[in-house]
Amino acid sequence: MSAVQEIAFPATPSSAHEKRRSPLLTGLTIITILAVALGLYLALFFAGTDVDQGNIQRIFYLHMPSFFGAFVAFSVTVVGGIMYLRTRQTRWDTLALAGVEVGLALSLVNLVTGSIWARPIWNTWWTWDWRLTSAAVMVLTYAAYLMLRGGLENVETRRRFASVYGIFAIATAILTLVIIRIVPDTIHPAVIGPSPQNAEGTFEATRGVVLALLPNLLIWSTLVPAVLMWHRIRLQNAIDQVEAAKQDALAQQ
Amino acid sequence: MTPLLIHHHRRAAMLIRLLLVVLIGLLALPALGQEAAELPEIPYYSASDPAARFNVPIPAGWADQSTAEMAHFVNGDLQADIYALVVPNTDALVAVETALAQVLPDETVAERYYNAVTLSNGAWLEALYTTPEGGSVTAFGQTRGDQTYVLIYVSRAVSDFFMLVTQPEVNAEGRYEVEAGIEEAINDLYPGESHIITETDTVQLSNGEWTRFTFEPRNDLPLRAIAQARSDAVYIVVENGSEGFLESANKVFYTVFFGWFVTPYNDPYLYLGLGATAVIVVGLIGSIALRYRNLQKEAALVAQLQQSA
Repeated sequence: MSAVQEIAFPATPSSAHEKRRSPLLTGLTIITILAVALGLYLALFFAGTDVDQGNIQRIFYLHMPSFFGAFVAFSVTVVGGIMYLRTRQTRWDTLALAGVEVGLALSLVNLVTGSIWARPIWNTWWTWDWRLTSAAVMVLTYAAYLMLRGGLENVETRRRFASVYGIFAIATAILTLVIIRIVPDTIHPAVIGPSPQNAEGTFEATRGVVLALLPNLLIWSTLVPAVLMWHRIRLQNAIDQVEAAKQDALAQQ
Repeated sequence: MTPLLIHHHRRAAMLIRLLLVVLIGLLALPALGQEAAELPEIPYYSASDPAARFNVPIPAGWADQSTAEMAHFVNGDLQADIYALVVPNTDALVAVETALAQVLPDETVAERYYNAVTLSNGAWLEALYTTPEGGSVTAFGQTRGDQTYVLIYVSRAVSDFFMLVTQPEVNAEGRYEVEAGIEEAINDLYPGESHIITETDTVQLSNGEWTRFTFEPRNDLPLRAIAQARSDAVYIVVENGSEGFLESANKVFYTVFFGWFVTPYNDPYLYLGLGATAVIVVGLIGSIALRYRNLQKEAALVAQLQQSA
């Protein structure tokens, strides 16, 4: 460990705790990288080519799992928000923040891959379909969370506001999930179960869909958000420590 | 820690593990639902070239003698072959003739008729030929990009046996009528000849209801045709011979024709999607790493301040 690192994070009980966990996080990170690689192998080489859509259909093995990963991360934000409001412990707010950042990145993956899929299949990058619009609203809602959070000076107010916002924002993710079931007038195909009548682009007859989808779904819904959130939490803990050290230094001056 | 607290901790840990297993199980459910929704597999031929991957259903009861480049189905009872292939040519008629030279290398076919039609599955050139042995060839060619996809039906029976697609004048309701379509087809196939319909009835085939026309014999051989009007054209099969292949061959050919489709080549979009995913995920990781590094510098500065104080 370099001198800078030693100075940066002195051996407080909290950082010692972080250090003890590091090998586990490193191991989990390596497992996640290997799992993502395995998922990509299944999606790109194991699953059969969709005869109707061509190879672009393979993007679906990232598109759908990334949404579920985002959903898991946003659900963690809800848990963090509720627990923070109950206990006022900083760690819950940190958890909520990590959930939003990771969920936002994964929902962006979902949105961008969907748009890229739509170009050759629907002949357009974007259309104001119910599902697409609700997904875009979800992304903007969580992007606003980060912006609003950054705009509040008072720490306690910021954490309280962010907790409440994070709890209510999950409504946009739930809406995105269920909208194709409640609004029949959508062109977005339902991957699970029957598609709406006017949906365009289905994946039903492709060989190996399930065997490629299931591992990717598990990897992107569990390992990927968990590991990314853990790294983000460690960063936030370090930020809080440095902030506290800064306050101490200023007080000593 | 008291035994009671240890017990509580163990119970909580077990509950968390159980919850995780249930969550993972719930995630698996949608995928299993997808398995149940999968359609029964239809035997299809798919060309190996990803940049020109066409697909055709393999007709039930036909021998599949396809190669990597060409679909080839054979039926001894109907004395027929069906071919599907790609020719690198943008002129559909030249491409059809090139394809015929490939599938019938030892035969010089004579052109009978050709026509361009735009159907619901694209713009096609239809061309009919006869072989020196008295057989018939129906060929359809569709140009996409710099290549032409060709579907060929070769009837080796010594008779006229042709599939035709006609687009006559529509009626007052804007629909095609089989009578107008059959008249146009007979005129195209036998120009200058007059053929009188002696009987008309309908036949129910697995691909819908067809109208069957029986004409006065031509060249002492029965002349029959069946036709079906669809929204885009009138689909017809004409047989001037005594084999009686009309209904079965009609069904097979149009099953192949309507079942034919090209798998689009869109690999660059897949690469774009993978690249965009990598940029977003690596961007997040990079942002965390960068913030961590900046924080270390800041912490070093704070430590210096503390030391100087």
